[in-house]
Amino acid sequence: MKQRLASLALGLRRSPLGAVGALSGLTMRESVRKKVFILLVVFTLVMLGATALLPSIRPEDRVLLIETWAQRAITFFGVLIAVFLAGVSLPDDIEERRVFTLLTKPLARWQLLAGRFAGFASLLAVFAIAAFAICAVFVRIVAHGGKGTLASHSEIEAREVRIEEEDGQSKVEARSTEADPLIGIVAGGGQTIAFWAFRGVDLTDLPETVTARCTLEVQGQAMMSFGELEIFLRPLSRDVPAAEAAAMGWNVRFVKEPDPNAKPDDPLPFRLATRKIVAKHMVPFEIQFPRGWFGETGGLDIAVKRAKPNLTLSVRPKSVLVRSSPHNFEWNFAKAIAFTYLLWMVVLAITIAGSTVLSAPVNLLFGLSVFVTGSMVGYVRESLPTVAERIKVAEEAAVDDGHGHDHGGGGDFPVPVLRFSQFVSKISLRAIPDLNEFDAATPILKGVDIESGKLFEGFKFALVYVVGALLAGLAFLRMREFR
Amino acid sequence: MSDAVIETQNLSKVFTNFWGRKKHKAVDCLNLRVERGEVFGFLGPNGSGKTTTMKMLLGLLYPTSGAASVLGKDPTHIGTKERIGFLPEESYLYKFLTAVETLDFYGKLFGMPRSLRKERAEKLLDQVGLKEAKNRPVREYSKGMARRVGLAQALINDPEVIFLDEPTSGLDPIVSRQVKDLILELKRQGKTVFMSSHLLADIEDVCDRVGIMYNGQLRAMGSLKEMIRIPDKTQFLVHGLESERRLEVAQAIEAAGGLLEDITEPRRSLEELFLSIIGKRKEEN
Repeated sequence: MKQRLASLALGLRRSPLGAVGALSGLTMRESVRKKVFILLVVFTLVMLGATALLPSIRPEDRVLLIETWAQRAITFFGVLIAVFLAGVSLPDDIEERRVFTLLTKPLARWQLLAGRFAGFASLLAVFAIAAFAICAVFVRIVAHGGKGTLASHSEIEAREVRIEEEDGQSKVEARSTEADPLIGIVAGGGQTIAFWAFRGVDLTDLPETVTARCTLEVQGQAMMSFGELEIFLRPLSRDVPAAEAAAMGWNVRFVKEPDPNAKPDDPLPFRLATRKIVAKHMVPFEIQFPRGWFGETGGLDIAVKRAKPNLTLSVRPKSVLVRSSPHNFEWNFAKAIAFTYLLWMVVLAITIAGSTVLSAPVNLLFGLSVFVTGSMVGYVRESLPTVAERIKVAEEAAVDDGHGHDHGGGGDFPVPVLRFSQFVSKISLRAIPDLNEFDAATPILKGVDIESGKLFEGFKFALVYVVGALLAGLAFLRMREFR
Repeated sequence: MSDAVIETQNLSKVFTNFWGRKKHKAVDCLNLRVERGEVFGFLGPNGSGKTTTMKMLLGLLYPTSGAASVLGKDPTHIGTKERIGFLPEESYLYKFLTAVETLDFYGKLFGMPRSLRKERAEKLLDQVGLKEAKNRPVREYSKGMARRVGLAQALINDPEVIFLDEPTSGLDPIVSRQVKDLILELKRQGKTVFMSSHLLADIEDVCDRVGIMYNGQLRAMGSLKEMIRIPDKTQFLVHGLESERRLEVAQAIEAAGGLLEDITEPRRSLEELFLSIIGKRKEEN
């Protein structure tokens, strides 16, 4: 009776998460005892030491390179931990028969799986925090001399700068020299527009609110060094967020028809946003507008017109630059590491799920394959429209031919092969996680902010794969017998 | 009233290959019943189905047909596992842990509070003779020491039923004796012990009942004393009988209708001799 009561008391105290915590703690302790942490710190220091070999152009670029290098190296090393340590932990428990002892204790199979996952997730979290702290201190103190806030941005130059004479009354004095790539000087009584044409801008380079930095040479009457200007946004795309621009103080107008005489590359200003601004001579000022005004093609003209014709305006190519918002280095790098952590979790969950049925060496190959194919699955996604187009062309050719036979419209491959390839690609895209969803290196290299919203999207994406993989692993583990 | 702690009904296990084809019938319609408080010895040659049966009773293998229950519940039930202990054939331990940490880890799986874990670990390590080496990593332990840690972990939760697979395997005679004494102590505490062993002398020393397996089937089961008794023979153990008087005793037996087969001097077992020599040396030191 006494024993039954003691047993009952134990049972009441036992929480399902207690066993998960015990196993998780065991994993952490194993990592400490096996000197994994020392290896991680040494690795991080060696990795940062190696940045001395990186080419240095400007201090800002150097910082970006160090950030990118550190982020990529940390990602890769974390994946190695997820695959090589986590991938063998459960197979080792099974092959060395410790699982006999574990599963004859009040440890459910889901707790075994969750405990191992939580242990390695904790280990990777500690590594992520340590690597972040070391890298942040290194970049701030060593690479940047410890001065000021590490803020970074990229600048996108206009592909073309032109001056359009609207009425012929303006006078454009051009005096471009090798030393001074002046486009022209706008003077006289008429209306003339200077515009900076941005084409093919990669929207992923930009934050949601784009900032254009303008530095203009403005000369008013009586040697006044300021004057009122009218700024225009002329998008190439019809579908631009007018309300958002209006909320930012832009006067958004609707233009009915495009100019029939416009060249193919000219903008189609179905919408036009304008605002007036007082510009001081050579004093930079910034305008902000929604990223959506670049449209899908990344095309936008930013134009400047004198509000009063008595101003003189000098136009140079770099007078208007589109730039990302300056961001705080530590915060952005922390977000990059958070992205990396999500990637690790996906690889970790899939590897641990694999370890419920695969032997240790096979599971290592499986884990690495998931990482490699997951990193490349973006190419498959990009190729799908091309394959669909080739199938369509081939089918249209067959119909035109009137025989209903394929005569090689699919190029080198017959249509059935293309269809099969399309089918396999679609299945692969569903089954293999696209690890490019967690790409933090590209925005870091471009010096743009990692959006918090994107991080949340990444979290949801990772959650689906982590939960799915662990459930699959649990299903296998529940069926498994231990001989 | 009998109180079955372990019970199987037509328990069978067929191992299949990857394609589901029958490969080997390891256990065939096993009907077994172990009562509360008894030490049950499970015997049989290699491949007879002992370990497979034990693994089904522990929920590590699933029966192909039939049923098994431990403490009245399915062996896979978590509630059952809270009340049992298991020592596998070899002590499969985490080599980076010390003996204390090992017991602490397994105690955590039972949700035992820290103070109770500490108390139980100290007591068990003392009981298995590892008090001095408790803070050394298990990887530095000899096979016998690791075995003793394995035994201690099987008892960390003060279980009602203890499954021991070859409990004295790899142990020297002294520790082996200690383990057997521990099993008898568990019996005195009212625990049920289900043990398998190849060492028949060990079974004989501690078991109340035995089951003998061969080729997946239970060939014999019953009280050990009854099973090994030779019913039509009688043995006298006499102290102080002079050798010249033996003839008179032999004649008396024959006169009573008995057939005297042999008169010998009883011998101690080698284990008893070994333990007495080592025991004396220990006392001298």
